[in-house]
Amino acid sequence: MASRRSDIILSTILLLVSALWCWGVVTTIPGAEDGSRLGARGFPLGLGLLLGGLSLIILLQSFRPTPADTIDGEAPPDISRGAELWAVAATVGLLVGYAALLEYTGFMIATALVVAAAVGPVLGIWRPRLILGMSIGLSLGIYLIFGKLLGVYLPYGKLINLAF
Amino acid sequence: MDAFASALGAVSDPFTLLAIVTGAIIGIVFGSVPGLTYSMALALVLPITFKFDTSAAVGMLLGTYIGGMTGGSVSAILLGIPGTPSAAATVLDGYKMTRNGRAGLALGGAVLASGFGGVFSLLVMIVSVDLVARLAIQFGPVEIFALVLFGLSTICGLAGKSLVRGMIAGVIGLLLMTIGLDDMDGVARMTFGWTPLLQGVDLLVAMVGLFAVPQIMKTLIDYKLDRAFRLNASGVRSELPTFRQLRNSFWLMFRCSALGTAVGSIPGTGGPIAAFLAYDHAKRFSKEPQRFGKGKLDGVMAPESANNAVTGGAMIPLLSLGIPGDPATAVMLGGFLIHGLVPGPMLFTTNKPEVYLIYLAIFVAYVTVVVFQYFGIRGFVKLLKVPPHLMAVGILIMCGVGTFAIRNSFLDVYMMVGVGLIGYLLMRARIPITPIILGLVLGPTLEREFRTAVIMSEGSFGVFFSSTTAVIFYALTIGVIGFHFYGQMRDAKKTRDAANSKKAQQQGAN
Amino acid sequence: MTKMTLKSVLLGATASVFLLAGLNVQARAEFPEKPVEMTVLFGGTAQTIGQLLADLMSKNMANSVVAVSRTGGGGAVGYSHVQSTPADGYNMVWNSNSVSTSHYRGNMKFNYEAFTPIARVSVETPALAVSADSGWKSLEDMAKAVKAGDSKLKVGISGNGSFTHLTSAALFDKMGIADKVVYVPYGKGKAPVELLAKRVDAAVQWPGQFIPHQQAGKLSILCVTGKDRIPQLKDTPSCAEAGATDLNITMWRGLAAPAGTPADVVAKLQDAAKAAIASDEFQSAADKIGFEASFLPADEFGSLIASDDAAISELMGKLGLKK
Repeated sequence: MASRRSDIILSTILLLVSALWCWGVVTTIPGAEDGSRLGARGFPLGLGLLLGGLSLIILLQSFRPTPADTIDGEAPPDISRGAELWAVAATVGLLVGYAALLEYTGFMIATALVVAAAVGPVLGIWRPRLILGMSIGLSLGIYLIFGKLLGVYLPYGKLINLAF
Repeated sequence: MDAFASALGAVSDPFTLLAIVTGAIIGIVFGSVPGLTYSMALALVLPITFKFDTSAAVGMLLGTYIGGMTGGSVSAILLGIPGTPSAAATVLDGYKMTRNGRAGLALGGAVLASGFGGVFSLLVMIVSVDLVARLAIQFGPVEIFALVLFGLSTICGLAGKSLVRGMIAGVIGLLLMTIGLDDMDGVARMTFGWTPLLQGVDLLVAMVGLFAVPQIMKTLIDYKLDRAFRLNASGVRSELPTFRQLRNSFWLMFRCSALGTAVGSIPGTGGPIAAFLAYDHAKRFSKEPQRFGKGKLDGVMAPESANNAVTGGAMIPLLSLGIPGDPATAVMLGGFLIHGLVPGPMLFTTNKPEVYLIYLAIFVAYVTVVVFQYFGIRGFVKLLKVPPHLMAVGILIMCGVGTFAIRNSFLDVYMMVGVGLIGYLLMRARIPITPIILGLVLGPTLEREFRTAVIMSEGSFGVFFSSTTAVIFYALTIGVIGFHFYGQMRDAKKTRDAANSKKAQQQGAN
Repeated sequence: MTKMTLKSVLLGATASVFLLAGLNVQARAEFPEKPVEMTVLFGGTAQTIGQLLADLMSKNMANSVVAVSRTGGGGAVGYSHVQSTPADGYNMVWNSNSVSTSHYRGNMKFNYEAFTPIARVSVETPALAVSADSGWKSLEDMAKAVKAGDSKLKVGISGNGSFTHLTSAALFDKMGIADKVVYVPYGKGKAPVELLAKRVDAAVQWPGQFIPHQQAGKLSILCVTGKDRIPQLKDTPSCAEAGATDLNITMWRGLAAPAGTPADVVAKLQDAAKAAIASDEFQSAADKIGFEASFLPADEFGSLIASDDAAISELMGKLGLKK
């Protein structure tokens, strides 16, 4: 059963996270400064333990013979693994690339480049007019409406700049 | 009455009217774009109002606040991404309605409910500002803690079939919010000595990550597999709920508005908690709870009437005590002060005309919002005509710009991506996303009030049972969870019985 | 057809943006050639004043000053950002005593010496308030009652290690009741409500939060913590007058740039700040919001920061808050 396997993986990871979290809390957060207070440590520690306990329940449930009540009503989406991996990688890649470009080349260049990259190489729509129109339209449009008209502070680049 | 006449004169001044309308429209824009929010809109509008006279300045600030609160529903319904935290509950049924081709009705219902909730809370404020303020200050740390705990119990209703999974989601949300500088003791938590992380996880950043990033991923998957969801947008009109639907929902909106006003008047709680409580309430008392989450209009109207009722509620402590309930009202307080309006108990005796002015401006702002959004529905649904994969590119850009603009921090953009990726993986492991938001929203309040209560009682935990109000909230919380568990056990037994009898039948047949 | 024209307009517009950017590069002449960023560390009134100041400073300079909010971490995030920017005058921070408290609390590795002072802009004086029903009319009344009673005095402050915490600790130390006080941290301006609801016995906060309630007869402001009275509360004694001998604690806000910013650039920013502070708009805002507009030139501001830093260090050490 796929859902059982995914439950075991999920609960193991969460148990690990909770253990690491609690270790981090105990070693880096000072406890209460005097007895009458809960201090900064109590809450994160309690929550970390709670997460561990809850993941343990999931782990135990996944070993039960009839896990009828652990299976959610929704059927898992039928997604081909390849398409999913591609979509996740593309989204994360574009967003991380955008963040890095924003920091170094400023809003204008970053937006134009990322939109062009998204439409062309990523989506595979090689229509020059669409690529050009969308990258210039979005960067200039956001610049004019949000940056100029509404006064949102758009990032300046550390290396190069075009107005923004 | 002279005061009222002069306020009426001030509001009907064309420039003031223009300021309110402009503010409302700016608010709607910021509210409806994921990643931008009304707190930011208010901070941007504030310097402009320095140069205005009092009535225009107050009008513009109020218009922005109200427009922003209402605008959040637009992207929640159309894109499945809430524009503001208060609209997170609206996604549940609103986005399903869009997928069912009822985007126009959902938007229409949301606008009407918003207007209803807003005007309801305005009336409550006018009639009983003193009384409500006096009741609200009775909510101390213990009572607020109990209320927030009750708010967390709505996870039950949102968790789907497995309460444990819902609770895991809630705990993850609570955990995320403890990262960064602890305001109370001034110590760093889980930053491992890295200064930029002291800023912690911003609620809005996490929200954009949790809703928008998985949505972009799903759109790309659909595009790759060439089964994109297409909607015939030309057929979507600005449809208002029918008279019968309204009559059926009237008492629901009324109750949710009352709930929103009450929650709003308690400083430090605010919109999201009201919206989730309202959604839970609507589902719990509905004749057909199983249809919630599948595109039921009540699931949109309940949270929308509640979160807009919060606006009037939040004005009560702001005006009568000078206490801002959230960052947005704190900005407004600054704007009021610059124009010599000092909120506090004296405001109602010394500044009568300005108080009436505030009431009237709120009313005008709501009229603007309802009219603008109603006639805007046609334009909004045109967004659905944009092919989803191209829309995803636009959303991706706005997520980057928006999360950066909140605190002008690049770290926030990376954080949004990280939280989004985690959110997607959790979703694939069948952990529901909405309870994470609930944990994020309620976490800081829950912890702060708990610790404050312990400090005030000098370390005695008995203090948590010293207040009747608090005990009532605990009882409600236990009731909700117990009821849910009972239901779950019954369902599980049914499934097992069915399985057993099927087995028996098969054996019999053999 | 229309599509084509639209596209050509867009292309033309982009081309002109490129052109303008090019011109900007060529026209390098005098500071400032581009907008100056003023990092704002906190929301609320600090942000309101910061934005107003940026607005007014822009009027006196060739390019505008933009208030950019970088909140979080009790100011540490914004200080770290500005400290890491080039020392060319295009980045400054709207700072306050938080530069010292953040450092000694262990949240910031560098201290005030990482910045070059530009000008002090304003001074705010915390005030001590109690519920009107307590019957305490003066600081002495309160101290006497606390000394005589068995229970501890609950005092609302903004957070442990915050400026209001340090102020209260110094004040109660002078009154000899330091060991009979419990500090309740609130943050976000909630202390007055708690005081109104009588869940705390006293609160130390900014006077603006108390004045309306004093006028309504619900709260009494016992004293202000500076050595002089403040204009908004002419009838309220300073704590030093009321019995806390020599107590003098005020919080300043001002502007600072990364250390090493050229002196001529600092001078230009200082003059712009001076003109902004002297303007009627700033003075009236100060009156209404409840702070004192008080300019101090760069060198004097620098020695003030240093002496306050030493005092805060000593106080935090005494309270065991130093990391």
